[in-house]
Amino acid sequence: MRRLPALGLLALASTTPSCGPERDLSGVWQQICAEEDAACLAAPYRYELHLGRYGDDLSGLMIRYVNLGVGGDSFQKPLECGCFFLQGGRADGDALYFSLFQPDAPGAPEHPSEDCPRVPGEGCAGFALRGEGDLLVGERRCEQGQSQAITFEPGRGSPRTRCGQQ
Amino acid sequence: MSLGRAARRWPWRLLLALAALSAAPATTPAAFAQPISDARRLQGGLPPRFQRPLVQIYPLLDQRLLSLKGDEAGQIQPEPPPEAWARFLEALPRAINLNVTAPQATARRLAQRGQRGIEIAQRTLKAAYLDYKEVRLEAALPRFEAAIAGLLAWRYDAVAPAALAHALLTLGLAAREAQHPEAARRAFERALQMDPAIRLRAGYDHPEAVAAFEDARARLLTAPPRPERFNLAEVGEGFTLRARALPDRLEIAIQSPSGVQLIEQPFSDDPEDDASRLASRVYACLPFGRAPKAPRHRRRLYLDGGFSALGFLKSPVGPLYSMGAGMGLMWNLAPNVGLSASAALTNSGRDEAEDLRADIPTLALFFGPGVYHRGTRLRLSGQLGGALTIMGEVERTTNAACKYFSAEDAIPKALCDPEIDIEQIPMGLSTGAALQLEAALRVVDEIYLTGRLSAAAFIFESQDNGLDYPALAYFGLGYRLF
Repeated sequence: MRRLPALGLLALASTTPSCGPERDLSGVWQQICAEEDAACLAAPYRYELHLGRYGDDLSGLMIRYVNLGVGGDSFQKPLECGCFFLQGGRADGDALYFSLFQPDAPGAPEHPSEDCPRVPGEGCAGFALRGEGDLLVGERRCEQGQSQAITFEPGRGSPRTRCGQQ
Repeated sequence: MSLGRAARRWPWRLLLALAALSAAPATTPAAFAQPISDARRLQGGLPPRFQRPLVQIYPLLDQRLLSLKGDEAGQIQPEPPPEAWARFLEALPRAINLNVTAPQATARRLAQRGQRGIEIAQRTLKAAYLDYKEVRLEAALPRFEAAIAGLLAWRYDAVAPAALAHALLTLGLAAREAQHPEAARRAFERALQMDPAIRLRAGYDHPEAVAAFEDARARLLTAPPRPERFNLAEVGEGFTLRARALPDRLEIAIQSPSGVQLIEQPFSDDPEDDASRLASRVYACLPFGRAPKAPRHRRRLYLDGGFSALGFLKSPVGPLYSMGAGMGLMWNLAPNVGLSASAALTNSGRDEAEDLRADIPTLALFFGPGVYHRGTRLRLSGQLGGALTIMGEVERTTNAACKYFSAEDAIPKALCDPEIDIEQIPMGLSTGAALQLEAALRVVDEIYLTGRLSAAAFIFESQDNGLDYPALAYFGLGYRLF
């Protein structure tokens, strides 16, 4: 009888899948603004990252929402105002690098409105982020060498894979 | 005469000749071997673990003592046993192919073996003596008979013949006092056959009893009969030698489960010669012994089932493991040579970078001969054979966008073009050479814990999916089918 637990453990260990893929930092990330970051709070858009990490490679989507300002929940479907594919994504430990595919041609919504005109991606196509605790902290690199600090926190749900209607 | 003519004249003879010719090669060489004498076999030395026949010599029954008259105290002047007997006891054990037990050792052995039965019979005998002492003759008689029968059943005549003879003597006295003269006579004769030196005390025992006893001794003295126990086939291990000495000869009964053989050796002036002749004749009646039988191989078939883990040492996607179920068969055809077959059905996980877009089901088969060593609890084996591996479709990409998005996601072809970026290799079959090592530990009865490790190298692949050198680890429970 004393051998049974050991045998059970062995059987369990043998059915356990082998080492899983490197999936760190995959998932949904939503932009947040610090209270003192007036520029961020006043920005017209908020961004949501849908990331898939595969070892050293990275892919996914970035969704742009109309910013409702302090206290408002911008990350709602009706407020969606642009969708960009990620390209050239790389992961190196906790650091992520990617750019937006066709930043001047946001994929959604299909019918621009007053709240969401078909506005290109603000000329900031490059992102360099790093995982720090529960946050993704880094900068987005814009044209003419400018950069803006940007911070993401984990969002809810599973990553989207389509820019159009889900 | 031509062969054709001969065939026409004696067709049956020709048939016989042909039959003899065809049978000749099948005849064992031993049939044509020259017989080897015992002397040559002894000179050549006996092989290790030679099975020597057990020969137990019982103490000598010296019936020459029947002729000696006892004194007032019932004692006779003891005579040494015949010198030929003493020399015989020295001569027979020189045959190293025999396992000879001397009389004293035989007595000790019989006493040990029958200890419990002898104790029970002795308690009955003690009660019989008490009955006799207190003159309860009708109670004493059956108790004596029962005790003596019990002691004889345990060969007490070889352990302590004098004690048994005394019991018979007392039985005779009790029978005579109980007015059973015929029973008394039989008892006295049996006592003298058990111990020819036993006597009644002329100055102490009843004169009529002494007279009856002396009558019995006189009858035996004329022609001492061979004791009944000399004529019994012994049911037991080996051979028993019971000997009696008469005034003119030695008699030896060789007893075995198959019967009794009697040998007589008259006394001459040369006891050494008498002993030598007797030993030779006894030796000739005994088997030589035999070489130990080579252990007969028993073919066994083992079946096991359990868990398998399969990995490919060469893989375009880095380390890739598959888990699943497996089973194995091991058939030991000949000593240390066996055939082994095993199968494992596994399903892969994903590689670290998830280049594989779907699981790869794999059936790995192995078959091959090998060697094994079987200990008390552990069986180790190794086989070299063939491996056959059937792998399911392999869908692979290194494009991260192709991994993240599916075909239905309307992703721009600039990011992921499935036709270019995703490689699809159909189900394929690979064969090669494999080495398998196995250990099986017997847990209880015929249930084994079995572990196997195997590795293979593919020689032929119907589809080049980049996977090679499969290594398989297995752990399971096994059972011996027969």
